[in-house]
Amino acid sequence: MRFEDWEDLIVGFILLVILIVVGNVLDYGDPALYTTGEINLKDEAGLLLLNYVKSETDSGKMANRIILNEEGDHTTRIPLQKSSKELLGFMELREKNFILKAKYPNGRLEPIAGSGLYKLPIEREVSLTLAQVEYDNKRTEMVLKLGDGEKIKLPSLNRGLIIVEFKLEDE
Amino acid sequence: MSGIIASKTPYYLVYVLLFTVGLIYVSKFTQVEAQYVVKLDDLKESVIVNRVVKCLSEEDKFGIMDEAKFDVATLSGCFGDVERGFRVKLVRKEASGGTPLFVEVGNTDQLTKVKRYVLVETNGGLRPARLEMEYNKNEI
Repeated sequence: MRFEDWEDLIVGFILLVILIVVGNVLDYGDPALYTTGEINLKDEAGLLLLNYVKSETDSGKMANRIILNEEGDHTTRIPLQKSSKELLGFMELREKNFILKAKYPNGRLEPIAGSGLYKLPIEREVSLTLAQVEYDNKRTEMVLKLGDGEKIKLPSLNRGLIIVEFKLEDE
Repeated sequence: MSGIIASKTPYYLVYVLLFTVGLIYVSKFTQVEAQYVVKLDDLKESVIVNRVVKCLSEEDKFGIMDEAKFDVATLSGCFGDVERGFRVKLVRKEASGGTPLFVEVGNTDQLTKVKRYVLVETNGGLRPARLEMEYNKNEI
């Protein structure tokens, strides 16, 4: 090795010592703190959604009825909404806000049932769209977009999967 | 040698300064602490309710109630030696479902009530039912 190389090696070593000393001695202050908010440990919605899609009514299994509603025809949609309202009403979720919706592979999102803050205008003869119904921002977001609720996927009669979402909140 | 080092001193100083600043900056990211807010009551409820649902469900069919299991011995057996106080009621949605099944075990003072959507196997397939459960928080 040349003389300059030894020089650089020694200086490099000294710098390394300085870095370690600085790293250990210097007080960096408080570490960055992130609050994730409340961790939701309630699993009521998961079991409810699972058993809802497995439920059978006189008109067939709920999962099948959601699948058959892909085109959003009022002959399938209105009975589906009525049955769902009845089933979820039976669960006595009156004091809670809930929204049940299905998103089809063609991009159409069907609100199936809702209560409290997310109550649906179930009497409407047409599917909801952002243009048709002017809800307040949160409500619109919750009703017309998939959120962070419990989800189950069902196979579509066409290609792809139908995502069924159920969101339950205490009032 | 000292002459060479002296000529390079400004570079070394800048080098040390940059590294120190960089080190401080990076250390902020390595010292991240996350704060979680966990409600233990929710966790307790979840564990107890799921245990009861599993206890009263058909074998390997979580959430599908086995009506034959609705008795004190089965419910007590599922909780072993743990002190418990339960009041469990199964209400079928069908009007023809008959009288709701009911089981009561242990000390039933100061009960906390929860409900779960469950299913009951019938000739017409899996029909909805509501499992109303009250448990004694203080004894579990």
